[in-house]
Parts: sequence; structure tokens; C-alpha cells
Amino acid sequence: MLDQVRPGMPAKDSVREVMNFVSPQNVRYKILRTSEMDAYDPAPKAEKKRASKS
Amino acid sequence: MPDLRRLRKVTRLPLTGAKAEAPLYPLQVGMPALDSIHDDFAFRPKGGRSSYRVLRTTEVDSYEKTDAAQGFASALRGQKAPAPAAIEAAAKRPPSTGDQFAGTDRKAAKLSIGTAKTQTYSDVSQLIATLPLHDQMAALKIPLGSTSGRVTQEQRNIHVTGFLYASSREADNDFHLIVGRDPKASGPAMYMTMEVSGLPLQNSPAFADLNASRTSYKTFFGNNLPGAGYDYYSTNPIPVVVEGSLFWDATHSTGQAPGPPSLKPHMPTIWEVHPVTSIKLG
Repeated sequence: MLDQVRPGMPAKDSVREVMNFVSPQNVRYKILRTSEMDAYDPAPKAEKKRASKS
Repeated sequence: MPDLRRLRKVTRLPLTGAKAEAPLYPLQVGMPALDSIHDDFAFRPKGGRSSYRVLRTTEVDSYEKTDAAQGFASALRGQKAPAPAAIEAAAKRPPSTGDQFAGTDRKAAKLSIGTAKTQTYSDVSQLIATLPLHDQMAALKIPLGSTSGRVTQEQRNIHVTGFLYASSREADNDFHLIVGRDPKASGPAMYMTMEVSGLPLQNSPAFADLNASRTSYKTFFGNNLPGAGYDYYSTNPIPVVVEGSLFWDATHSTGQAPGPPSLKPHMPTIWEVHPVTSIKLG
């Protein structure tokens, strides 16, 4: 269960995968893989179209 | 100890390069991402004693497909600095016009008022703490059709004191109000959506209350009503007292939830106050 009011959390509806990760120092972390990207990045769909034209 | 929220001062809007009306403090509670602000102005409500600052942004609910939302997305995408004219053009496209409710999902519930006695809360976080959990509500499988009425959990009426941090106008003619805690309160910032609804037909039992609250909201902002992009008031959040019925936004129980991107991480629920039946601003 994710604690959404914890500081630094992403928007709940952007989280698409939650992964457990153990660092080389044996510390456990949780990775929240999200759909967030930089606003100026091209949409993946547009990128695909461009690739198919070339 | 210096106030850490005032540690960094910004005097220009990064998105357009224009000079800000007054310094901005991006670490202040409830601020939008600095690079989303395309306009900055102040207004004084008619007959009001205080003036309020509006930070007009390119932030929209992520599921929106209005002309304005698509205009912002296309103006902002790409590595080059966005053209201010394209942003201005998108901001001028109204997401909706008139006052009639123009939506369909759960129209019967949205345009009705709960039947329970009004409960009073002095802080939005107190109200949020009482709301049934997401999984409990999702298990009800509430139909989304226009005739879907209020379920038992949505019969609650509330009176809550808070602060208005942001608002926008939606395609169905609702105004989304993002209401949060006192910016000086200890503990985490927290917000929830409260909707000043588009109006039902005049013969609806809810018409009088919904019309009065919409008129009150529109009168306060006058010519400064928000468009499709969220207007933020976070530099000096507007005190607000809201009454209304609780509503679980089943349309967004999976996928993208409502809310401006900068505040959404602090919106822990898709419960809303919907419709607002009374509102006092300022």
C-alpha cells in the first residue's frame, strides 16, 4: 500500500508499476515507475510516426 | 532560522520570459510548477477588501481533450521555447460556454443533493479522513450512465472551511475548485476537488441552490473566471466556506484522476464535494 501524503510522492494515477529493489549495500528500496515525463518530450506516438516515415 | 519556503525568489515567468507582477516563491505551499505560469495578475472582488493574485497556468486535467488542452499540449511539446502567442491562443479557447450542465456521466447524482444532515469540518484533512476508501467504493460498481443516482455513501452533506488554491472551467460547464488546508497548518498539504456545477433544468429540486452557489462564485471572480487552464491563487490562497454533497467520481476510479498536475500528488482521493450548494469566498 502506498502512502500518498508522504513528501515527494508522484500522483497516484501516474504509477504504473511498483518494484522492490535491493541495493549493493543491501538496502531495500521501492521503485515507483510512472508515466510522468518532461513536458517538452515528444509523445511516444508521435515519435513512432516519425520513425515509420524515414 | 529563515523561512525555507521563501528561500528562492523568482522575478520572471520562465515559460514566457515576462516579468512577474511581484516576486514568486516556488517553494510556497500549493504553488504550480513555475514553467506552467503564462500570466500573472491581481484582482479585487467587487465590494471586497482584499485583492488576490492569479497565476494563470497551462495545467489542465490530464484526460481533457478540449481545444484549449490540445492547444497547450502542442505549444509546450518540443525542445524549443514555446511561442507565447500559441499559449495565449490556447488559453483563449473556452472549454465550454453558458451555464447549463453539459455532461452525461452520472448526471442524476451530480445534479442532486444528498439527504443526510449536514456535518461540519474545520479542515479539509478532517473531512478526507472520514471518506470511505477507494477499494470499498470501487467494489460497488456504480453505473456511469446519466440516470445513475446517489448511492448511500453519497447522501452525506458537509460544511467545510478551507482555502481555494486553484480553479478551472471544464467542458461540461462545471468549475473545478481545488480546496486545501490553511497554508500555515502543520502537517502535510492536502487538497480535494469541489465542483461548482453546471445548472440543471429550472424545475429541478436542486436548481435554486446550484444557481445561487454558481452566481456567488461567478460574482466573486467577475471578469477573472478561469478558463481551461488552472488558475492558481496559492500566493495568497482565498479563504472559502463550502457546503455541498459528497460524490465519488466513479468515472475516474481507474485511469487519470481530476486535478492540476502540480497539486495532484497531494490529492489523496477522488471523492469530491459535488455539487457545491453554497459557497462563501474571501
